[in-house]
Amino acid sequence: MYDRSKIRNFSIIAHIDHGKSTLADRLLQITRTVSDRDMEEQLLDNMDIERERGITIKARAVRLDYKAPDGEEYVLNLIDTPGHVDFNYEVSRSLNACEGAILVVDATQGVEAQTMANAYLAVDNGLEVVPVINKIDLPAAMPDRVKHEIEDTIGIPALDAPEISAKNGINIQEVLDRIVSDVPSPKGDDNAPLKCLIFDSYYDSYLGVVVYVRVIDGTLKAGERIRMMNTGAEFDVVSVGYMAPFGLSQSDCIRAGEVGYITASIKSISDTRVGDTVTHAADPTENPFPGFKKCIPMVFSGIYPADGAKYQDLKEAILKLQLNDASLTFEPETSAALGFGFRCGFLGLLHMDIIQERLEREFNLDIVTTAPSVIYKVVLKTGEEITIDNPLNYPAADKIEAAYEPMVKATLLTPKEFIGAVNTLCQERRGEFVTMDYLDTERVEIHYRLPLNEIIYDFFDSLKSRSRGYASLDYELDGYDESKLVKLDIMLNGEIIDALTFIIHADKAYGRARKMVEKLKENIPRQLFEIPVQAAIGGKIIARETVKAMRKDVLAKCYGGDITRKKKLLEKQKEGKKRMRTFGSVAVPSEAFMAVLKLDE
Amino acid sequence: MNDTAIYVHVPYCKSKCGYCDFCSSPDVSTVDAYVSELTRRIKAYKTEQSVKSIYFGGGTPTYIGADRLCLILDAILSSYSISNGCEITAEANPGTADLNGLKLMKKAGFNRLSAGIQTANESELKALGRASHTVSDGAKLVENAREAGFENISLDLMYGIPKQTAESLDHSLDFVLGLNPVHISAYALKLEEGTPLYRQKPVLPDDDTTADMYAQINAKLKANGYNRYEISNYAKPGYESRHNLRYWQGGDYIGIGVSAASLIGNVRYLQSPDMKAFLDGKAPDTVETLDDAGREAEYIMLHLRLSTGIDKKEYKEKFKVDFDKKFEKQIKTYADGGFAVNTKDRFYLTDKGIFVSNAVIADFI
Repeated sequence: MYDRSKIRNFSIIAHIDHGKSTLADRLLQITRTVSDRDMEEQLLDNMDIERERGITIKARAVRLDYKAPDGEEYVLNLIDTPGHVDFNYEVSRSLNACEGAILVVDATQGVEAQTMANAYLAVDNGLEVVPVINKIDLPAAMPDRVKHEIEDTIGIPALDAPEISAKNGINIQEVLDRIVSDVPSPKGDDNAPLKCLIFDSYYDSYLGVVVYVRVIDGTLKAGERIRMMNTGAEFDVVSVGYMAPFGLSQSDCIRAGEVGYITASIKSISDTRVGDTVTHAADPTENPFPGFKKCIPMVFSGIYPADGAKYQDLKEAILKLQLNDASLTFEPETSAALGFGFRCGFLGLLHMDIIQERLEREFNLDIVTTAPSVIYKVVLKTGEEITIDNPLNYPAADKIEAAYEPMVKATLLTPKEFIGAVNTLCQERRGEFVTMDYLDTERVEIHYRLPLNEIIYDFFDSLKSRSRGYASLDYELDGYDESKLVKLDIMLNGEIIDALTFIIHADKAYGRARKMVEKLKENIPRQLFEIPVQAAIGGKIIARETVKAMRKDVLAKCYGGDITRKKKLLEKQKEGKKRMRTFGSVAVPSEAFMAVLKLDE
Repeated sequence: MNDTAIYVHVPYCKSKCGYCDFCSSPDVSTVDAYVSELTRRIKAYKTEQSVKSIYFGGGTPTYIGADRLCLILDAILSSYSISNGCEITAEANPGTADLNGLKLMKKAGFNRLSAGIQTANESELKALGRASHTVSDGAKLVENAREAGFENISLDLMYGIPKQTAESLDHSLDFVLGLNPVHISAYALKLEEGTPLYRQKPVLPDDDTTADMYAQINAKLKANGYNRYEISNYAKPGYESRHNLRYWQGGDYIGIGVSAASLIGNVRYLQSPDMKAFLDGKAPDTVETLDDAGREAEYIMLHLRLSTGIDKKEYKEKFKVDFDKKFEKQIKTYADGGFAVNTKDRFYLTDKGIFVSNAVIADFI
């Protein structure tokens, strides 16, 4: 039965760990969309990493059939959004497909940086925001205070927000009722020219790309020819339908107001950009969406197989990941130190982490990654301006007129007792204080302007550890500032190790150089020759350590019965050495690179 | 190869040392059956090769008593063609061989004794878990052996023992030198998985300290007229262990007893350590058949342990390749680095190279 007035399209937004995915699970259960037997924790987060980290990486959607207490049957389309700043763009597109958003706030934590960022995004998109206070069963819950905080900081009424526990299934019914009563039904005309918004897509090896859309106007059936209005690509629709929790549920058509999927033997995900408009090729809509924003990678890093022979495997794995993640960019790269690999671009640090982890876990690859880098701009003495995402390409100091680095506007929310710790951290990271506002008597919002390259190493971890987990961060890009940047080279036995070269602010070069050479010294096994480990800027050595020569290895006995074993041992030793990267006469295990690159302050 | 050697494994000990991962046990309930199975196998095995050396290892061969050792040796002597001047060694531990027994052994034909002294410090014996003897038992054993007519005596020494110092090692060296053996083996303690000592997770001297100890041993033994002819073995001129040299020079040998290894031609065999299987007559397993490349790798691995190193002429005859050409790069690296000496006829490791022989050898195989 198609009745637009009975459709509700909504998403759930929240700060990480506030219980978004758990609430989604409960909604699936209570509407009997998923039987209790099939219930698996955080069903919509179907990647292992999502479940373990408790974050949603990709948007997902599912249709819930809900019979309200008044006896009416409703179709509730839940669109789960990624909960991290790196995926802000996906969030905004998902929100565009909805009329309402449930804002989940943890009753023990209160409003956090991303609660605000996401809530503002929803309000800006004209969504009805329904606040929900979660985790009220915890002893530390302060629902009343949190409600006031929501009203004060976000400016939406919250005093009558449902108080729930998604984990223990308390008051979930109330959330459903609020969706029905507060979220407006979709507008639109199912007889108008077709206009659908793409809010997600994924690659399936049998179906090709499966496109998730919200139908704004019109009706779409299998067999019809569609056009992606921005890319211009055209396809014949193979099937349309709705999203069930365990797969796709085919239907005759999808119509204005509905959320559904399209398959059309689409081979490349790049034809189905999130944010693009799908229309009929024969009768296109006259007012498409403004178009998609191409995701711009902010953080770059080289990814190499730990075992050079696995290059082809790595390539195939990255290609597969890219099928589902158009924001991942890569191009082949060669390093004298690490051999053949790829220069990859990521939306942010989390994105980078996740890609690396998926390569290791889903594809069972051992990888080595080089130091993350941002995009620098350099004006040469010749007047030419160049952009640099790979430290190796950084020009010599005497060729540079001026160098610029990307900045971010950072918003940090913290309980007041950690103001000092947060300020210290930001200042250590070359941050420039902007403002500080008390949200209430306990919580403070601090604004800083920071260089992006200062937060791509371990800023999140430091922030969490220095605030006992309470402070949170949100940031957005804020142009480029001129900066005193230098290229720091690391040398082993006098040879520059390209994979370890990075760009850093001149004032911080010495400290980092020291740490890197110390870490390398610890992680390079002693060898037959003494190995100097040095850090240099433009040929000038600023730090040095020495890996002393090995003086003894195993001097075991070797008689008749030992020979076979001994031979195997030596062969293994030789194999082990082969797996290491060699520079001249120095063998460096992959772990040494990892240790240096994962350097924390 | 028209000659060979016999190794007899005696898997019994008064008590098992903390670091020992050899096949041995204090349970002697099987000993008579074991001796009779050994003699049966000795008599059953036929070879035309003449026997150049015989070695009784363990375990502690002397622990089962001189009578039994003589019985086994008799079987060997009466079954094979024995070379003139055949070196016949028994390993002995302090406190397991008295004067009478040693006299019997000498009379039966044993002409070399290898005794596990290990250290002259009681606390270190304890740290090693050598519960069966004291320092003075060691001296007594040597004294008895001399009286019984043994002139060719080898003593074992250990270094890298927990809490061992340069001074305590020096004391052990003095003690051993005072006993005036013609041969000394010095081994660095190695923690073998599964041993009681391994489970104790003791703190061993670090690699630098151990290297210093090795240097100390080398210097002191050299000054006292012992030549280091293998990584861990020192001898007065003419007293190098012929039996052990055979292992390193690639000669044939026949191992009899549980866990004993044999090399016959290109084939390596290994008897399983399973006592019951041995008593039931289970034959040794074939471990590997060496191809030319395997032979060559083994040749390098073993010869580089020896002070004489690689004999390039012999190498060319055996493997039809020129050592200098094949390993041009490695030879240069290690000779330039002071790890090896390369002469027209030989390539051998220096003291510095011997210390790190694993790393060097791994580069050649």
